[in-house]
Amino acid sequence: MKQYGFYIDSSKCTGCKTCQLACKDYKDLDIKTNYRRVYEYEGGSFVQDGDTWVQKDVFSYYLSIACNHCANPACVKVCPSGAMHKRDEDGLVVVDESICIGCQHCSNACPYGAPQYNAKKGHMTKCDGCYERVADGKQPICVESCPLRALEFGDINELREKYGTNADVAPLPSSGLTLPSIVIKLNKNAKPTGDTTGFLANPKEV
Amino acid sequence: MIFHEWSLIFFTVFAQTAVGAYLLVSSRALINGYGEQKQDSFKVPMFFLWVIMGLGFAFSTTHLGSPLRAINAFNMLGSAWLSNEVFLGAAFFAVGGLQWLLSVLKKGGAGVQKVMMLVAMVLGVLFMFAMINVYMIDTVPTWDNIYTPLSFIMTTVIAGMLFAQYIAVLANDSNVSFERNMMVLAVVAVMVSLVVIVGKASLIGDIQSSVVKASELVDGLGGYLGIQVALLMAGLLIWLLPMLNKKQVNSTNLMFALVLIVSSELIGRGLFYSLHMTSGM
Repeated sequence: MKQYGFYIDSSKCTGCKTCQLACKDYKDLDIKTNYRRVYEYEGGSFVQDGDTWVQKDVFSYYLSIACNHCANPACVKVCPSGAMHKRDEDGLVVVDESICIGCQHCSNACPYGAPQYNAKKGHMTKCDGCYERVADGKQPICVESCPLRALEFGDINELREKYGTNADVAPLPSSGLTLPSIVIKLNKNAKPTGDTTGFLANPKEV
Repeated sequence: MIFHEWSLIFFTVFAQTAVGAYLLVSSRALINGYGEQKQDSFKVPMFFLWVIMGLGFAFSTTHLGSPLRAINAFNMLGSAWLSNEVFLGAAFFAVGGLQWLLSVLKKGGAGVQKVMMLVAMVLGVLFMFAMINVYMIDTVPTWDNIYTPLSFIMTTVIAGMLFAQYIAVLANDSNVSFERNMMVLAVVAVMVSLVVIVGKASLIGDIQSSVVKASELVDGLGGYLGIQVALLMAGLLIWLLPMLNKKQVNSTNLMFALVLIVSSELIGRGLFYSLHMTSGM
């Protein structure tokens, strides 16, 4: 089975959120809905060094996360209608908006905040990996828009050959839970999964 | 505010109350071998039970964004616990409700009704089992722990026992030994429930992800827990008062106790939903 995924270069990402906005524009999303979200994880403080205070353990880095099209998707497992499904042809996790009953249990289960409820439509919506563009041989709109070339999309096996297999970094959950189809290149300040020394600096943006 | 999931709060608590009461009322009817005559005195009180269950289901559909598609909830029967829950709940309601209808119409005979009662009891237990599993999601640390089954079972036991006794009193089917047993069981169950509440609260203090501390999810968590426990204790006191005073147990008293205890359970369930978080973001 083919499985597409994302490569996320957290060492390049400057948190400009062009990806988030390109997606919002392309998918015509309202203010609160973000199929792609840029999480700012930061922490640390000034430390005393003799008579001066220096900020040597202050850190901040960005993670651009959409849907990770997991190999073991928590959202699909709990969905009672079967609307939330994993496509055989490309491994993308998509919600069939003509079947979804809007119980929102998928958003209870997903640890990445991917399924998002649209109260006006009465059902769930989410990143579909731009599967229509992908079928035409194009890239997802977020990947195309990134001015720093910090995002890539492709066959996850090829991405893993190129960039390794890491999918763990704070504040993401342990990758063993849902087997996300992502590869993350760590920022030099990256903290390991489970780290509690930092905090989410932009809660209203995600 | 802890009641944003009000439809699920009412659905789960009402369903547990109705199933718990049904299990106890029907066990007594089966064990004591009630005939058609005796069953007749239960027709009005048992109607209240099905009203509560029906209200619960009405609440559950208000939770859906697209209630007209509610039938799709059965699509993943067998593989998704939410589908199993909806199916088993509907089956319990259908079989138990039909048994009640047959007893009211005096149709079908005592044998058929007993079999239906047994089937409805099994469906009720499976319904409760499925309801617990809906929330045992390995990416939700505040739900995926022993306190979810424990607190759901304690709601079923305490509210169910009290509602069953209310039904028995309305049906003139109460006696001294039944009341004494209920008194002992009520005290034990409430004590267990207190241990569960305290245990859950202490577990919540230990759960955190990189971006969320479970203990900071609800403003005034301690206050809500205090009200939950106070309502539970007040309900227990009013439940037991006539029995302690060696007076006749009356339905008004039990009704008042039931309102207090169900309110306590509703607050507990409100906290349950408000303490939702995932292991990620």
